[in-house]
Amino acid sequence: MRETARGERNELPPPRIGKDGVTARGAIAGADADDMFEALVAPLVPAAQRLAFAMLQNQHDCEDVVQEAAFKAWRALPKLQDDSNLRAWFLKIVANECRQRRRSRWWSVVKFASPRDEPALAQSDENEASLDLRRAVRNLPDEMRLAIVLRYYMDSSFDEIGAVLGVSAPAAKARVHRALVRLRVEIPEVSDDA
Amino acid sequence: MREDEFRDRLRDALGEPPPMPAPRFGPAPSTPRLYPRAMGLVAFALAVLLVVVLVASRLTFHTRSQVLPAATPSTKVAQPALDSFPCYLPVQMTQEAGNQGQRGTLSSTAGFINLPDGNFTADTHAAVTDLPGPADRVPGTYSVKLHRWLPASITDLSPDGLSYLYVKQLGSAGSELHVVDTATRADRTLWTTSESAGFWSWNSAGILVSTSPPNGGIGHTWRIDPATGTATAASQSEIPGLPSQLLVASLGGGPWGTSGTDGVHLVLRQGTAEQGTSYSIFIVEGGAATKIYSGTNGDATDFYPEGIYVDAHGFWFGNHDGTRMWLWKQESGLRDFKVTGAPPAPAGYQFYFVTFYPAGPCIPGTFAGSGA
Repeated sequence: MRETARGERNELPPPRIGKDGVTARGAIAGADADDMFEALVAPLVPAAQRLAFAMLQNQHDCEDVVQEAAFKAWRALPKLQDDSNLRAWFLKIVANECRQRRRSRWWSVVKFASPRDEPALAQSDENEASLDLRRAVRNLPDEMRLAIVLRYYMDSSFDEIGAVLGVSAPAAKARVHRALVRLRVEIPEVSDDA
Repeated sequence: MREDEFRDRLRDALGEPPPMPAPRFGPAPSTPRLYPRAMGLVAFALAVLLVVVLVASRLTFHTRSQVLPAATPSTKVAQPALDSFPCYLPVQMTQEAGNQGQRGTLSSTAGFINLPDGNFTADTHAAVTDLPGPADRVPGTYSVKLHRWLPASITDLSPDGLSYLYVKQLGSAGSELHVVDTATRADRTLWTTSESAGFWSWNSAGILVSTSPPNGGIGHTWRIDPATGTATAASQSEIPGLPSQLLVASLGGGPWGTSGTDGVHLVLRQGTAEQGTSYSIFIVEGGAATKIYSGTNGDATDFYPEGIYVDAHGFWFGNHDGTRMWLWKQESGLRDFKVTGAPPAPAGYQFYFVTFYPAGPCIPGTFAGSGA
């Protein structure tokens, strides 16, 4: 099942709106904005769901966050800059919603701050190493966890990570390294070569 | 571990999302599941109520919470009574070097920073492999009592600082909670469980542990007697972070993250690290928060704390770029010390980062580099 899921992830279309590709507002201009917005953002939803799930590890929270992000993205449409990277822009909204979700719901905060790990999806083949790694990732500060998830779970480039985090690509690289160092406290073998 | 292997492990650990419905695009939807106006009003009312309750509780119980009590020595390790200079601060230095698109190198070195001049010197006697502990243990805390480094963080130490604990995961067999006596180097299995265990705190009331079934389900919280290993059910409300997190939820004001804890205090950063944006740094303790700094990313102060240790001098912090150590005390405010002596950037790397994490109390005197 997991392999299937990986296969689906790998089959996701590449970002349609990239640094050197079609810009968001330019694509929307001249068309029905709502229809065009959906046409542009819908392909990004799987990526948004993966990001939200990796950050929150809860299906219902994930659904709510992606829905709220989609709504906020629609509302923020007029504020889009001509050179906006739509994928990074949307993932940034999703990431902010994840932060907001964790901040605004104390039980979620407790859940994520807790060393207890209650897997959102029970995996019969899940081993202790996975539990340890999940615990360590959950214990990371928000921005570090986001950097790790974007880089190693979402396969984002440092340019995209920087765009989501609101920093330069080199700074994004630094964030990832810093997060790996922090992870090493709990998972010593992680950072040396990752 | 290779990068590809880490990716696979991370994906195994976090799993893939189950099939989910696509979100609705466009204006606020009208289906009951998705943000109807009535639910919005209810949510708003509940939010107002929550804020009122939280503010009222703070006003009731923390009317002086904007001011932390004067810095007091940690209860974890006996601290030197003196709070004067010169002193040498135990630190764990982490170094990161890397190139764009390539694997980086990471290392950790224990040593001391002489203050107030700020010179760092590695401690050649910092090895901890003679003590029991988890695999690949590294020096985490310097014990003044024992005159040596320990393979444990401050939160892992017993109240008297003479023992530390670690959790040994046994895979499907569960977990073991181990206690190490630093005097005899005896490694004692204090408690075993068939579940996956995580450690919270060790104070005079005992050791607080949470467990969860390996394949999911309802977890439990336990308080373990450090002498007998007897476990009694505990409430999740006893988890030290809970009051702090509730308070954090009441602070508002944008994204936040933690950048250090000693098991008693939590360093909270509110705001992003984006240049030119405002941010604040709080110390949270026992349900009360003290704002110790407010500024703009990239300004002249650019206080970006990493780690925390409390001693008679006050609250020590590292800085994310390794250039400074910080000392905060209510009476005197924030003070920085420029740090020198960090190894130069290795050749062939585009990026190089050093961070110093405080790892013990600032010890009166000067460290000469031949063991503390």
